Amino acid sequence: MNFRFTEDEEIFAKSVRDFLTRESTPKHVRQWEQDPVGFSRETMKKMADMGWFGVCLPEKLGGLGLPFDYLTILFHQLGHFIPHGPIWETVVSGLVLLHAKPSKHRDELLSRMARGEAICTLTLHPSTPDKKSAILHFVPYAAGSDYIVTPQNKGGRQRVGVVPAQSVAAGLAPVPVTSGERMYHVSLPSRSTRTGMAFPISRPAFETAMDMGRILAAAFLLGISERALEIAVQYAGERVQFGRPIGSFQAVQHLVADIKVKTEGLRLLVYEASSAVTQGGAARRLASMAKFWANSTAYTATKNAHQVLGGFGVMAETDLQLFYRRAKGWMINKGGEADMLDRVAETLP
Amino acid sequence: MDFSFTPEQEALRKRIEGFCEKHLGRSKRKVESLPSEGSDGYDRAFHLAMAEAGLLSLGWPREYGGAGLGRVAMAVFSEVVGLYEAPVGAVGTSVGLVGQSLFMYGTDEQKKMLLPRIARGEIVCALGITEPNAGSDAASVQMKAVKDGDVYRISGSKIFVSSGHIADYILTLTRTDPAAPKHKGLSLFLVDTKLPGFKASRIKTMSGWVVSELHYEDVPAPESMMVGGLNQGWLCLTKSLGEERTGLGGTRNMKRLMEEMVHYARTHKRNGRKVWDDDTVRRAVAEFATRLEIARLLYYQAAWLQENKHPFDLPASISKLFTSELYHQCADVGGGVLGPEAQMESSSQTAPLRGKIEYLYKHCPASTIGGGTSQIQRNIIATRGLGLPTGKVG
Repeated sequence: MNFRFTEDEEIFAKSVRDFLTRESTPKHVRQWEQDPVGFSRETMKKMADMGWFGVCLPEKLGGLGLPFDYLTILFHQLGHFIPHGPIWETVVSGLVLLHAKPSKHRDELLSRMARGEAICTLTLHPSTPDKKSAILHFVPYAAGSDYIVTPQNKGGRQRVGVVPAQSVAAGLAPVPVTSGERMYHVSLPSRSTRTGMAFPISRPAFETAMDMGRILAAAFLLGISERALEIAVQYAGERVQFGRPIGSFQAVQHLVADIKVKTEGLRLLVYEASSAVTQGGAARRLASMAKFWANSTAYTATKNAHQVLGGFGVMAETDLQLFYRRAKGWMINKGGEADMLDRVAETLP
Repeated sequence: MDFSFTPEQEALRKRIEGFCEKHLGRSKRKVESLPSEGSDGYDRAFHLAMAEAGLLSLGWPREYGGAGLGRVAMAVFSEVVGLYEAPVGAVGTSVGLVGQSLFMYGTDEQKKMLLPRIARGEIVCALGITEPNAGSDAASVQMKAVKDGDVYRISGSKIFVSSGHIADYILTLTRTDPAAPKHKGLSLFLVDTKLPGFKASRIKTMSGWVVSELHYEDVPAPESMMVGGLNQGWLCLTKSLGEERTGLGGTRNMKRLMEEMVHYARTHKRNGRKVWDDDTVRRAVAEFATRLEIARLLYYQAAWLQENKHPFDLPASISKLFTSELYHQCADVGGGVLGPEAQMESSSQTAPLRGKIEYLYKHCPASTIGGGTSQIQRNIIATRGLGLPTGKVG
């Protein structure tokens, strides 16, 4: 047992924090919310140069070849800074492809992803296919990405479709959403005219990769929850009402304590799930538990923090609302509560 | 992070499992009945057998009859006996609370006299802090200890004392200097329960679980039985209780209950369909399983931090708060799984899960009160843990 991070992990986490402190300030986040594409390709390229899109990819494909725990640490830190862009989507697409049947095309694509030359978005919500076309719902950052990665399950055979985003540019319908991230419904052209590639993947391998994605989404929400806690604690210590800091009132203290308790539980659960993946074990139950608890924690953390900040927190100029809204998006889109609980239930002894 | 156990810890787990199988004659998979009405969870034969097998004082140094193991090993012990629903009443108070206080603050004479006998299971000790007028405000103790020659004469009452009615010695918090500020005039005495003027009575709680109320009338405690020095009682107690706080977050039999609930829901029908196919019930069980996993992690984290000499005060409070709240949820989820039959008491032959959920209905309110209420834990987390200003009154 060891409940501490290793020195190498601490160094990695610090490098992530240092980068994001410069490159993903609340000012940047507000700019990206107003930007037509919704993120900066330049920032994404810098992230690629840091190795973030190839953390777990083999070195021969240009990756860092690090254990999965490092990706978890990366997304844990990203949650503190909430940069915009298909970061999770690109990383998880990479993990899915890494689990697909090896081929030269696949390896080329993975190498380009590691270099930041193949920015991917990923479709998670079931599409509504008919013979001629399909509509993919709630696809983040579809404009501005290079590829749309669409997992497909046809007659029990799992494949990963990789469609050049340019080829579907005419079919993008923007959907403004709570989180402020650019979101689209995407009409795919008929299969006969559709371009792109498809990689076979086994169903268990696909699920393993998606479990990894769920853990990373949970880690991101962990970061958001911790940030909400910091904001609430700071404000409660400074804001004076009735002649004393509001943080000295037990009614306020207990709101904050409840964030701390849930967040601490989430931190352990996320890293336990991550550790199970790193050790090569089954993580289905732990990954689903982690994402469920991440949703529950981020909900409590941002809601209670808003209660502490009072009217001040709901103003658009206050940073807390950025985290509150982003949490909503990641709770809804990357593994909803009922779905996660059903997956937990399936695996109970 | 590394969540795995050492080979020694795994071997210990196997050994305790084997011990429980042998002495309780029951498999951890089977639904068994609860302690009978009026129980205090203490089973002398089992207690002595644990001592004989060297399981009673796992965390104590070898020179006092312990096994010299760390906090994580003790957490493993707690996890396994919980799975077997073993009668481990008096272990926490006797070996844990009082034993720890003696290690830290007892005189050599006190240690030699009591520790080996506690480790052999021959005697049981309890801790008397709470009074009718000193609950969450534990330092507002009114029990007096007045010097009278070679002895201190102790008078007053203690309440909600676990195992007090079966104890041979009570480590008793008394007021020795009424003029000093409330935390500063307190001293600890080891009081022999055979001394004249001491009287213990049983308090039956609503679940049938028994705690005790203690009355002291001029009980003559020798000065040699003072622990930690005159007027040092509060300081000693907060430090030694601090060492024992990681023990409060154990999940007892909840894992077993969870498995039994899952089994019940998968094998029983209600309103023409399997209970497990009810989304509300199934998801509530899944949420409970998630929280239970977190409770286990919080518990082991606190134990590991303590064992490795890291600060563990805040993690221990978080663990205690989270786990104690979970007992309420466990009862609620059990109610959803069992339906109306959840309310049947264990005395009814047809009660599902032998009435364990019903028992928990009546037992869980005490879990978020004893050992520091949930509200006190939240105060600690917010002030000592997160640095918010205290709002102390008086």
